[in-house]
Amino acid sequence: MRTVVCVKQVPDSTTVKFDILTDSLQNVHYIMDPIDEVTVSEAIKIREKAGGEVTAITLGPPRTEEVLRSCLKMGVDRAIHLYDEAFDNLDAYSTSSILARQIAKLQYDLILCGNQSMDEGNGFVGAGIAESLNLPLITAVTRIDIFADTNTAVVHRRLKGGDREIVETPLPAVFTAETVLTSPVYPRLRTILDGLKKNVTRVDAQSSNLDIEDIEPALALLSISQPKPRLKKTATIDSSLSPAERMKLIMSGGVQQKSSKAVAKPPDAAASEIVQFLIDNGIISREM
Amino acid sequence: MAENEHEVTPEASTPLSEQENGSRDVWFFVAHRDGKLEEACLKLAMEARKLADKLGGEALAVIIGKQVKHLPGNLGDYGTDKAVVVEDQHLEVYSGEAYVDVLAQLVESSRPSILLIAASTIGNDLAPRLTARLKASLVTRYTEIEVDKEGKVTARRAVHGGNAQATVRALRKPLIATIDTQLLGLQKAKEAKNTRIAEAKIRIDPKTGITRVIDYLKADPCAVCVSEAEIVIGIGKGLGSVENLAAVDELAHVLGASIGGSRRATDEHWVADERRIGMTGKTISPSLYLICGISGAFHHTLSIKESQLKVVVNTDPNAPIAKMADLMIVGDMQKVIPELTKQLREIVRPTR
Ligand SMILES: Cc1cc2nc3c(=O)[nH]c(=O)nc-3n(C[C@H](O)[C@H](O)[C@H](O)COP(=O)(O)OP(=O)(O)OC[C@H]3O[C@@H](n4cnc5c(N)ncnc54)[C@H](O)[C@@H]3O)c2cc1C
Ligand SMILES: Nc1ncnc2c1ncn2[C@@H]1O[C@H](COP(=O)(O)O)[C@@H](O)[C@H]1O
Repeated sequence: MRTVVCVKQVPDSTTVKFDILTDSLQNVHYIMDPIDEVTVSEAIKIREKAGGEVTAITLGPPRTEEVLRSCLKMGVDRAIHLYDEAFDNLDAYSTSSILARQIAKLQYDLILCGNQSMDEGNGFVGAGIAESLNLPLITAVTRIDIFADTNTAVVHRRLKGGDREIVETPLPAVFTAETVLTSPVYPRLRTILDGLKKNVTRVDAQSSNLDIEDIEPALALLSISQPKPRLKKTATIDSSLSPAERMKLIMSGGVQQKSSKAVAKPPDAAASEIVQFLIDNGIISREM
Repeated sequence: MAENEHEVTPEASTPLSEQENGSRDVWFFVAHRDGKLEEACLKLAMEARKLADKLGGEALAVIIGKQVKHLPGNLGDYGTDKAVVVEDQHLEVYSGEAYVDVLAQLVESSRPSILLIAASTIGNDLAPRLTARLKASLVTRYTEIEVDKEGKVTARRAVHGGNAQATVRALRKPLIATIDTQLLGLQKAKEAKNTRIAEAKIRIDPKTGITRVIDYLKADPCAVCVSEAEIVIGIGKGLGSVENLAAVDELAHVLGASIGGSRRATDEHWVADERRIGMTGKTISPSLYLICGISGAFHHTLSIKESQLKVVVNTDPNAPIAKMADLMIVGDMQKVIPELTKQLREIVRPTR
């Protein structure tokens, strides 16, 4: 089984903050996207069972070589770094087509991506690669079973509320993974030491025969700014409110004032209140 | 593709220059279940109406399935000008491969400005596939779309785990945009429309599917991991003692909920460690989080932000958790929970 894993370096979104004074992201600590740690681990487990090799690939500026080094220490066989100044600030569409072009030159049975990256979360790159390479795509994958003899895979897909759909596909195919796919592998010291000795293959636009003119982004990033308060419900501004109160509602982005409904009632009345709230919000419905 | 319209095709009367650029229409993809429209579709209809007005085009529903002609029913109330319907027995259930083939043909022939899709399990699969096929622009989980005078479309969305917001411009057409419909309220359009129904005939190759669905595993909503559950009941120190667990368990079964807990609750072994919610536990994103006897320490609340609705039951009206509540019940969980179970048993069933 020859598996290609697409990995991405991202700012750790549990620490990153948007700073209004400098109008930029602060507290940026680059890490390997946790979902990609999952896919790399899965690729290594597949290799343990079915044999073959694992190639990690990333597209990004020089600092992103770090994630490939981590992949090598985890035990991947090869690492490819797509870097060119012309690749700076690419949108997901262009990223996927350049990755696909590179993958097309490799031998592969399986391509793994995250379902959604931690920073941008476009949820696109896997689909883009599948379309470029004309391969079957399965999204939201939570389990992979490979059948090398028939060159097929049976995978579980995550649906709503924990339900699963089980899908069979011929290989090669592209899977986009969910974090529950597998737990991370903890490499042995030997694997880590071997990984340290391996090289990262650097590929630029020229060596991948890519004409920069061919890169046609689908989206232009205009700005990164402070997050808006999350829109809970579309504000239907109540005309009985005073202008000041209405203004406050508008300024808060339509977020309904929380805890406006504090109910201190006897248990039966309190329970009725909850029932009505659940009905009003479509969580439950009355039996016909 | 042959369209047999009940009315004159609006596309035919559009000036040529407009046709080259595509139309200014806003489409939305309609998901349905058990022969009914999902509420999410009505919200998309509203959103499509709003954007179509900004663009000066029409709001148009696309409905794909086996027997779906009757579905557009009340879309007119939400301002939908037209519904394009594709019926085929091979389209009865969603398949990414088949649906993308159909939608790609429809979109290519009319070239709308925007196509809205709900960010549901289906939408999250469909939107990127379709974008890749059409070489379109994709914005997932947008919070806002703006249209300038020239009809250029920009969108905003949360990035970096909600710590920042990105503003992007669509460079291609259509902009395929997914939205979390739970964020939208439901309101009828000011002006109801008489939705025209157009049946599109598209040749469907039953063999397009390369992948094959071989089984479906229904989860037990009470057993499922809290991070995947649609309804979560969180219990904390306020439970008081282990004897009160039975009542919570009964409620969980009536509601179809998964039980999780604060660190206090896991430390007391009322709830298994893997069901702890918070910084040292799981992150949840249910439609409903019923929070009983939990004070709301940030170690806990950090991981519950994505919950759509938060109902709190706590004896202390000033507990920090009250600030996050959509509904705050000041009361004793030990009394409210059994009462709630009783009332739910009598009158309701879970919607899912
Ligand atoms: C490093 C670190 C990591 C942590 N990680 C986590 C974590 O992942 N998850 C987590 O939850 N905590 C975590 N904690 C602990 C956290 O700080 C709080 O101590 C904990 O969340 C409190 O649990 P609680 O709300 O159940 O209990 P309490 O804070 O004791 O609150 C009990 C609440 O119940 C109410 N109450 C009492 N009786 C009743 C009744 N009969 N009916 C209704 N309400 C009642 C009270 O008014 C009170 O608000 C962590 C702490 C540290 C230091
Ligand atoms: N620059 C990149 N280099 C390698 N893989 C990437 C890159 N960007 C995205 N991916 C892959 O695509 C997945 C989804 O990313 P996204 O479409 O941004 O949500 C990620 O989890 C990665 O597997």
